[in-house]
Order: sequence, then structure tokens, then C-alpha cells
Amino acid sequence: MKTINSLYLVDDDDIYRFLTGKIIKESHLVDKVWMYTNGQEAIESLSKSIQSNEKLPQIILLDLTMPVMDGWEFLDEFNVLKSYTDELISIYIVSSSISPKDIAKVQEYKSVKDFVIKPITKEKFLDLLASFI
Amino acid sequence: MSNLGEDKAIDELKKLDQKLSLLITNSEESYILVDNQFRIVAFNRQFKTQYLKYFGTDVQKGDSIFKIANPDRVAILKKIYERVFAGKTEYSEIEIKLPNKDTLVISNKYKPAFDEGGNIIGAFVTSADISELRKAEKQKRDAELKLEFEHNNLKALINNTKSQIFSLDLEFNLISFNEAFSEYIELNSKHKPYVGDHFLSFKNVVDNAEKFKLYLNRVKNGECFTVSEHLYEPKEIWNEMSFNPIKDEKGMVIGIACISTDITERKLFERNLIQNQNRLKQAQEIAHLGNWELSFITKSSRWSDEAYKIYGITSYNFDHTFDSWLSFVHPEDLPYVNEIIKIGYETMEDYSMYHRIIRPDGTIRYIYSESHFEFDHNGKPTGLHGICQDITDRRSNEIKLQELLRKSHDQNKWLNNFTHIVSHNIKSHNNNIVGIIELLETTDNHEEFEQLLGMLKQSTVKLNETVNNLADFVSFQENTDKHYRMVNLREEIDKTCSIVSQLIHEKNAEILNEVDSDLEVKLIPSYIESILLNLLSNALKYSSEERRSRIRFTAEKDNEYIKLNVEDNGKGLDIEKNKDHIFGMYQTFHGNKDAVGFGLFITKNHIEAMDGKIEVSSKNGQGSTFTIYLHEKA
Repeated sequence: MKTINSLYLVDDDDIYRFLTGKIIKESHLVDKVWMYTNGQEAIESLSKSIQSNEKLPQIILLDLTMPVMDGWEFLDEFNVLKSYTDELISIYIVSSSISPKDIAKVQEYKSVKDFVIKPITKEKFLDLLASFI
Repeated sequence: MSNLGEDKAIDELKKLDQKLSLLITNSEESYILVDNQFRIVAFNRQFKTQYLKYFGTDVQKGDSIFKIANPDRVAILKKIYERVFAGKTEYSEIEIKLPNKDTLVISNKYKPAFDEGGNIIGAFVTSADISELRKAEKQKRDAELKLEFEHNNLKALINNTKSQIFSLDLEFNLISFNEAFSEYIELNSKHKPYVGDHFLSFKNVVDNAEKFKLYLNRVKNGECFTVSEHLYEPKEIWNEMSFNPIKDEKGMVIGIACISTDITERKLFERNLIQNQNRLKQAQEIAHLGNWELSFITKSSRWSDEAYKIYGITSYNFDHTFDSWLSFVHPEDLPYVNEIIKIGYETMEDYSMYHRIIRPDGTIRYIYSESHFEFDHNGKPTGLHGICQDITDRRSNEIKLQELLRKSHDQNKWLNNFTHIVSHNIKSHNNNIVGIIELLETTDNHEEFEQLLGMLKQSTVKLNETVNNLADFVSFQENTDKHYRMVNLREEIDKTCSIVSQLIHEKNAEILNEVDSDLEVKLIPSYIESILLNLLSNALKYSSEERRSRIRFTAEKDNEYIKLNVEDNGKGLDIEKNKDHIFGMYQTFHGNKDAVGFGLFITKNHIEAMDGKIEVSSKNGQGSTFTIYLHEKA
């Protein structure tokens, strides 16, 4: 079975990260899960990987509301970084927000593949991975 | 002796006869003797003269009496003579139309003429020309008729007028009066007035007897005057009474004449007019609406009272010229006003505009004005009239309304965000709890079980915190009727410091309270406590690890606000990056685990509830200054 090499989980909620991380691990479809508590950490890691020519994550699960750098700011930074690599990265916004404004705003970002409403369950995660495997 | 006496007597008789004959001959009257054959047998000189004068021929003895008579009258005349011949005396008066158109009036007396034997031998006719007499009589009669006609006319005039006309003697007794007066007295006193009645005894007069006595005495002294009497009898009437003295040829006052006219209709009309004018004035006052008119011919304008009031001037200190008016227009609006007027005058079409004016006392008012051209029958413009309305109050109301609309719009937006954020937070914790419980159910690893239980506890605490925050906030929103009290800011800051003294001690922070000890502001005490606690806690929590924390409080006056600055030398914020959500709900900036993101949000709400505002200036890594504007309540 084909697996995902690498996945970023960006969220400031410790418990969410723990729970989601557990679901991902138990699916046995992802080799490596990287966890970040805000956009700043994730961007720094990405740019380091690009600079050192390391493998980039195929999937980023991104929260919107975070301190230091929120999901929107991350997306803006990511758009800049994107031009330095040929690798394809699929971003999923994972939020408990049901604000139609946020959902509409997400459509403006081409790098965002989908909008997933929290929580991420085993079923939702498998659906999400279906297009990759 | 007898013969001598007889002769003498005859002589005497002859002399007498001669005198008589002389008398007859020279008499002004005409005498003729007509025999029973209707022939003129004798006449005197007057007859002969008259005959010649009137008929142009000489009279001859023996001429028929009918020769000169009008043919129509011959039969009548014949009958008269026949009656005279029978012994009667007859009279006749005849009019003779003369060729010169004059009418001759002759009065005739016919008497039988006797001979010595007493036999009637004819008629003796005495004629007199009474033309002059008749003429005089006629003139007199005509004059009398004319007088009577005039009298009747005057009487009709006096009686037909609605005005009451009457005259009094010096004792104020009624001498004469017209029908209107009689009706008026009768209407009010239930009986007709009579000549000789005392004027002051009339029912309508008696109530005002003193006043009327005064009037009548003034007339007695020769004064002429008019008074207006306002009476209720029973309905409201006005009488205009004009008093005139009646004087004799020597100029002595012998009576009093008075004309009293009912001018109720005119007075009511006048009163209506005044009322309407007042109503218009009131309406103008209420609407702050003035009107004006400008004549192109006289180059001057007329303004209504309210128009003066709107411009804050009076008619005395305004010269009513166009240029003077223009000097009131706000300089910033002048180009616009001039343009509108220019177009108006070019097109001769009515125009309207909104502009500001500056009153002599410097206050600025907003005016709406409308102007309409007036034209003469040749279509030539003769003037301009229009209205001006002070819309300052309306405008400020509109601004207030817009402000209110904006506030409610903001509040709506805010509420929308609020529900989303709250639901987001509650959902997040809820999701975590559900997730943890699922894992708890499946795990058989004791260590993991303990870890999950810890997480469950943490999530429950956070959910509880969120719900508590929400409850706090809802109660704050509901509780708008908080009581304001004078609060000493310096004391309040000291109090807050003592609440967090533990934290201050831990951080080894230096607190500088530089607020004036006598500065007092009217505030809601619980709000200011919460505000200060939040700001101080934040300053302590986000202190820099690189230097000793120093927090400084200062206050100054800024217009209607007291500005309170809370300055720290902590981590600071990136203002540019965070300006949109520093005071938002559940915003945290430092990735600090203790951060709830609720403090500044509630602080801002507390300040705004007291009509204040909050600003922040900060440099990342160098510190922040929060400035609170506390509105000074009267």
C-alpha cells in the first residue's frame, strides 16, 4: 500500500494535536507527522527544508486561529515560499469555524485543497487521503 | 238854494266821476264793459295797452269779446257770460300762450252791469295780469317740492343706513334718530326709543354710563372724535362711534350728533388677519423657516421675523442688500452658492441650495433655501422670493442617526463575530472531550489512560473557562445600567497593584504610579477595576526576560477626556501585524499557554460602555503603552 511520506499538523491546541496525531498514526498511511503550534513554526520548518533540499510534506493540515502567526498569514507566506520548490503540497484548512466568511475566503487560496470542519475523525481522514493513495 | 245845492252836488259828482274815470283809466287792472250781445262797449287804457301788447292789434269798441278768445274756450266763455247776464258774479283764470312763448296768466272777474233802472245790460269784466304772481307761487312751490324731495331723500338715506344716527340736546335727551338706532335700542331694551328719552337710560348704555357721560361732555365742550367700543351684547360686536357737536349760527354748541357704525365684520377680519399672521409666525418659528422677498426694482429685500432669527440679526442692524446677505454665507460654501445663484439668474429658473452661514456671534448654522423668480405681465423678472430654513438641528439629528446606525451595524457585526468565536471555542473543547473519551474507551494502556484523563481534565477546565467568560460577558452586556461614581484614579491603581502584589513580587516589577492624587473621574467602579487589573496583569505577564519589568501609570487631560497611560517595557506587540485584532476576542499574541485572549476584548468593551476609547502603541521587544480615554461625565 502506498503511503504519505510526510504531513504537517499546524494547530495551537495541544489536545487536538494529540488526538489527531493519534488518528493519523493509527491509519498507518503516513510515515512521518510533524507538529507545529503556530504558522510561524511551520513556515520556518518549510523554508529550512527547502534550503537544505529536504523532502517537503505532501499534506499540511492547517488551523486558522493561532497566536503569533495564524492560518491566513501562513497561507500568504506559503505563497511566497511555493515558488522555490517544484514539489506539490496540498493544504487542508482544518477549523471548527463555521463562518461563511472564512469558508469564502479560503476559496481565494489556490494552494488550499479543501476546508475540513473539526474534529478530524478516522473516516474523514481516510476520505481526505483517498485522492493520494 | 236847492238848485244851487243840486248843481253843486252834480258838480261834486262830476268831479268824483272824473276822479273815478281817471282811476279806472290809469288802473293796473283792465276794465271792460261787455253788452249782452258779447260786444266790447267800453274799456280802459290798461286793457287797450295790454290788448295791443299781446295781440298786436288795436281794440275797437263794438268788437266781439270772442275775437281775442281761444276758440276752445268760446263755449265756456259764452256760458260764463250767460250766467253773469243772469245776475251772477263769475271768476275765471286763463292762460294765454304768447307768440314769444311766454305764458300770460290773466285773472278775470265778471260782474253784471246794471242800468239806472236796475236792469242788467251787460257784464263788467275786471282783468288782472297775475302771471308774475303765479310764477312766484310756482317757484315757491317748486322750491318746497325740492326741499321735500331732498328731505325725503335724506330721510331715506338716514333710515336705510345700518349706522345708528341720533342727536341729543345738552341734557342728553333724544332729539332725533334714525330707524337703525330705533331698531338697535328696541332689540336691546325691548321698547322703542322716543324723542325726549334720556340717552344714558337706555339699557345698552346704562352699563357704560360713566364712559358715555365722559364722551358726551367732551362733545358738549365742542370736541369732535371717534371711538371704538368693544361690546358683548350678547354676541361680540364692535361699534365705531363718531361724536360731533351741533352748533348754532353763533358757534354755540346746542346739541350732540352721533353716528355709530357696526364694524364687527371689519374687526373680526382684522383679528383673523392678525391671528393668521401670528400663526404663520409661529409656524415659521416651529419649522425654523423664514421667508423673504427681493425686489429687482428697489434693490431691497424684506425678511420675515424668523428669517432674521435664523441669521441671528434684527431688521435694524441689517441693510437688506444682496451683498450684505452674501456676507453671512460660510466662506467655504461661497463658491457653490455663487454658482447656484449665477445659474439661477442665467436661466431664470427657481433654485434651491444647502449652505452654511456664520451668524454675527460666530455660530455656524446649516440652511436650506429655495428661491422663486417673479415676473411682470411682459415676462420681465421683477423680483425673487423664497424661504430659508435652519436645518442645523435636523442635520445634527441625521448625524446622530447615522452614528447610531453605524453603532448598531458595528454591534451586529461584532455580535456575528462573537457567536462564531464562541461557537468555535466551545466546539473545539467539545471536540477534544469527545475525542479523548473515545480513546479512553478503547485504550488498555494504563499510562495512556492516565495521560488521556489529564487531557480530559484540561479540556473540561478550558470549556468551563470559556463558558464562564461567556456568562461574564453576557451579564456585562445586559448590565448597562451601572452606577457612575467619582473614582480617585491614583487610589484605584494602588488598589489594583495590591491585588496582584504576588505577581509583582514574582516578577520583581517596578510600579510607578504618577497619577495626580486629587484626580477624580466619574466612572463605573467595577469596570475601572477590571480594566486596570487586565492591563496590569498583561503588562506583568508579557514582561521581557531581558530587563527588569517597569510599569508606569500617568494621566493627563485631553478635551473632554482624561487620558490614562499604562506604559510597560515588556515584550511589546507588532502593531502593524495585529492592529485589527488586538482587542478582539480570543486573540493571543505570544503563544503563551496562559493566554486566554479575552482580557483586552473585555477591557475595550468596558471602556466603550463608559463612552471612552482605548489605543495602543508598541514596539516589538521594547514595550507597549495602552492609553485609555475616560470620558468626563458632567
